[in-house]
Amino acid sequence: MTATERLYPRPLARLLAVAAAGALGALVVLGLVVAPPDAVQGDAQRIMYLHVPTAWLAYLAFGITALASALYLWPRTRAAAWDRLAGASAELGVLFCGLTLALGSLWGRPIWGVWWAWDARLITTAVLFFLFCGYLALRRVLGRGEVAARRAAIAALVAFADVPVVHFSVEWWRTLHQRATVFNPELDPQIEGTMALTLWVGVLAFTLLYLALLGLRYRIAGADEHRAAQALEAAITARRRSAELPADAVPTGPLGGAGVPAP
Amino acid sequence: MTDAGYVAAAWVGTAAVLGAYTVWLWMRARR
Repeated sequence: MTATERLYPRPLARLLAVAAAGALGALVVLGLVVAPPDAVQGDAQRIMYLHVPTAWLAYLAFGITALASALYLWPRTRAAAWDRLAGASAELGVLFCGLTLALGSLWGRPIWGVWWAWDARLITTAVLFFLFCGYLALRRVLGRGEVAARRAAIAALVAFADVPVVHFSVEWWRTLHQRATVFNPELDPQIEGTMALTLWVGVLAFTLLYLALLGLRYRIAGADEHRAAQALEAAITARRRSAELPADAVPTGPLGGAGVPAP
Repeated sequence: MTDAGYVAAAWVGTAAVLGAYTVWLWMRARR
């Protein structure tokens, strides 16, 4: 059994995948059939049952990337597994952050009348998306090894500094984007009944999906590293073999062979 | 486009993106 399988055994992976599929099915029924249309926004508000969970999942995924990066940088906990986890979670974070922006735009067109507004929340979220796109690009450019992993970890912590700015942007500046409905500074959720239940089912469904995909992505990263290490080993062996001389070969050149007289 | 059109685009689009990513990962993991 590999280290990855000990940490994330296949039965757990299957269980998470089945649970995520079930929760996503429940979200479809609740979000499109059971939850009533909003009194002001009408049916367009149903986009929020996807937009809000994807935004929270982007925070979570980037949070895991930052935590794993910090654990990599801390000498006592340094392990290649943290670097692998940081990269895997960042890829999922970029996916969820991209979805958040696209879904927000699809909601903004019927409600605000525009696809995009130069609003503090929207801008900081777009910056977050591009920061972590840059982080993923940097990981590819840096390659493998301890120095590369350390530099990537520092970049992840710098990029993560934007997450609190995104979250508090609606409090710090006057924005078109509404304030937090659930995690507001008063900790007084402004949502009730079936709508709240649908939102929480959405968060649960996307969290389960994130965990299932994270395990899969982490396993792929481990397999890629193993393959790269094997390819490097094979290349070194082939190079050594090609450099070896036959046992009966007569050395030639300035320091030996027929052209140099014996002392 | 009506509200239903935006809602359909959001839900179908999200399902398509997440579904495609999941299948892509699944195929890479089986390699």
